[in-house]
Amino acid sequence: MGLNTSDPLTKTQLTYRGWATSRRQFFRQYYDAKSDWVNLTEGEKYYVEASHREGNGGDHMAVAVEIEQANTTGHHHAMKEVQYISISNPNSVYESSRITVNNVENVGNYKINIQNPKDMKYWKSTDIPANATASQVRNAIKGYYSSRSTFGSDITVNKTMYLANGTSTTNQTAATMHVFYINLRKLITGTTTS
Amino acid sequence: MSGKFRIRCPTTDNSAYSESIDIPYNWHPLWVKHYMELGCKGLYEKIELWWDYNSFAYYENGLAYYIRYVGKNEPVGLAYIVSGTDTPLGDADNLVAKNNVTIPYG
Repeated sequence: MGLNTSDPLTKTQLTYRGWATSRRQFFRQYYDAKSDWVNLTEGEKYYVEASHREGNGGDHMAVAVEIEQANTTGHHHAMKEVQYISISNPNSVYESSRITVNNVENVGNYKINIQNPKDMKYWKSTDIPANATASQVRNAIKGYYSSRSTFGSDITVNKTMYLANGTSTTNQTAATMHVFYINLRKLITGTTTS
Repeated sequence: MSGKFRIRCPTTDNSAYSESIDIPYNWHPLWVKHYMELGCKGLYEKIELWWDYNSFAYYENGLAYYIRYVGKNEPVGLAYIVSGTDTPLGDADNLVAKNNVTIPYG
């Protein structure tokens, strides 16, 4: 983009950008599609030229001029306002399920069958190791919850282990009961999971 | 969340407002931006709007947007969300609307 006071033949380059931006991105000050400040004289006429070479179609170009004047209300260097708006029910309760695996011997695999309340059909998980982590259980069953035919939701899974006497433990080898808490990340109404 | 909502844009002195048409709760933020620009006076092509995934992972959980007034070189009124008129948001009586300025003008 070039500018000169009167003669287009002696124009000077103000700015240059070698690739595309999104539409009207000159609002973003960190883009190099914006020139440095140019001093103008009141009453003078100026010639401004912008050149644009289209690449693969669908292109367009826009030019904007901003004026630096310290006493101008709404100077373009002023920070743009950002607002946050939201609406929700703060008392919403997300569906949570619990799966208990008893008499764990930390060997072998098992599957989890989930009955879809919509059609009462069972969905079968992939193999889950007897000593599975919460992450492994999540990976094995998340396909059921994320399906469009069920909830279309991601899930979180937490695991708690218990000894034979009922006290909780972090000792994987000593634990005889694994409890997995499955929480939907999407708020649903009207259906439950068996 | 279900139903439709509107984005209401008051004047800076809160003496009047303009607003979008009813927008389905699960429409993409690009459409929310579009209808806010069409309905709110003086905002056409002057805002950026994006979904706040950190607040709600799904539209069903709640609605949350950031609005950046890119083309307004002046203070603006604080927008807010209201339930739609032809199809109000579900569970509307229990919904709580919030709004605040995260980056002030100037």
